[in-house]
Amino acid sequence: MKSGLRFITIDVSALAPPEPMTVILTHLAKLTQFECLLVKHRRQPFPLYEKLIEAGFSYHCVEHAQDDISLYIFHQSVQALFEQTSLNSAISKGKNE
Amino acid sequence: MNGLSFNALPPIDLPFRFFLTAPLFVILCALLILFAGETLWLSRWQPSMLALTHGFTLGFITIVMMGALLQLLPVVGGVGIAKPRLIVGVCHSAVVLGTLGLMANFIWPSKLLTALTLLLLVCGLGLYITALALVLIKKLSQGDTIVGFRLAITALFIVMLLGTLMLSQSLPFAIDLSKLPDIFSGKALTNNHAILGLAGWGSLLIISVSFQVIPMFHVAPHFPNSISRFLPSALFALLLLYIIKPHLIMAFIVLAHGVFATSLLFVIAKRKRKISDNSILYWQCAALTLLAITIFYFIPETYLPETLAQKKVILIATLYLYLYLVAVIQGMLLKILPFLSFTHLQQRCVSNFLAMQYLPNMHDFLNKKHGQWLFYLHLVSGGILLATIITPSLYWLLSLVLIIEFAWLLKLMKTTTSLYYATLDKINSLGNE
Repeated sequence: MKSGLRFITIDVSALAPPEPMTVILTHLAKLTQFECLLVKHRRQPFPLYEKLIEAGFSYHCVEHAQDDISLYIFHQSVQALFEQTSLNSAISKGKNE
Repeated sequence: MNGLSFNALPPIDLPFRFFLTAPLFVILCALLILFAGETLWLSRWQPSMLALTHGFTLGFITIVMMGALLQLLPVVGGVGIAKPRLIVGVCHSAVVLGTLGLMANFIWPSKLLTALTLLLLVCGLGLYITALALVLIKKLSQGDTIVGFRLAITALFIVMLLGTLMLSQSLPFAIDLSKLPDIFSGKALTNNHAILGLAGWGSLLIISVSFQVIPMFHVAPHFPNSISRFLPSALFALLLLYIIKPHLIMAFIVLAHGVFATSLLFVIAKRKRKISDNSILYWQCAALTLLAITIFYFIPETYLPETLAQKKVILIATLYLYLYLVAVIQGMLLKILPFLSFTHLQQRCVSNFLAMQYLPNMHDFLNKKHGQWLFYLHLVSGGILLATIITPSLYWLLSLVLIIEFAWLLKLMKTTTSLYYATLDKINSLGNE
């Protein structure tokens, strides 16, 4: 196993729906096993969550403020690696869901 | 990690069912206007006028809002109603049939029709309110909007109770209103039912939705905290006080709407994406209408021409209903229909990225120019509606323009849903290959 995840950051907070989802999907389509997509968003994309799980992804959301969230999306197979990475970094700061 | 209990968006055909039914009620109202003739406009107590107002409020406004809330709850709060297909199947049929029964019962009253209408509306609305209440009592995200939803649903419940009380008067089990406090006497009861329906269920929900959808869809700043936190609760409290002191409190209800309109225009002006957008036109129309109502309300009747002074109340009610509530709802339909169609299709792509090649452009779902025509049609029909109140002989023109406008809305919605299903077929065929 690799030593950690490679983070790919996208900021969709200035985009109007449905553009954030389009950008997220485009990046998810290319996401390799040891990569984690970090999405900067204004709101939690609730309806996406169940679809992510069904499609073999996992997610972790950190709410910094009412209109500032960080959403981490990664393959379920690297869940343990993500948790290990989050313990060693600032990922868990904020309100976690 | 995934601690939230959530449902995905309900199947898209469920809100579509509500949205596609609603314009048919306005077309029915237009036919009623045509066949009832000038007498409909004599007073608000005319049976055909009561049928008309309920055609708009229950048939159009409530039915669209019932469908919209189904989708908004999972997006805003992260939780949807349980067993949506069953709940929608019962509620949609019962409310549609109940509204048709109510309209018919105003024109051709009968005990059997009254009992049937009551049963359908109480079952349909009651089940819907219960299903939503079971979600809304949970601790949900996006507090201010959810608080507004809770208050609006409470208002709908009270409106339903008051309506039931009035409608059941001709039935054997009727409650004797003369034994109840004055607030349940004939005219006061009707006024309470109307104000809680329009400003409670209708406006409170629109105000709460605006806190969420304007920043979200138009990348605009959030409403000032003082507005989003306190306005829905303040308006709801005013509506309850109105029941006790109607004349004094009405001025504050009007002012509260003036405050909302001002902050709405402020937030819209501050949006980051200042591209032309039809739903923004509708929001601006609604805000300007509310400001016009505020000014008109506070002008003493002695300063108004006699015709306007005599019809002041009905003119204000019409402006509020048609150029505020119906306008916002029509604008929201133009926004959420293509958005929902696109979002539902996008969600299919999460489990099969190849499907992304079939996603149409957002504008293909609803042509911007066609949406703009609808907006102008709404302004024209609004103007003719106001003119008809002053000059009832214009009723035929109003009927004609309403039929054109809402048939056009129906056509736009049909185009959107057809493209959705055509794209879905293509995506499904991918899975079969």
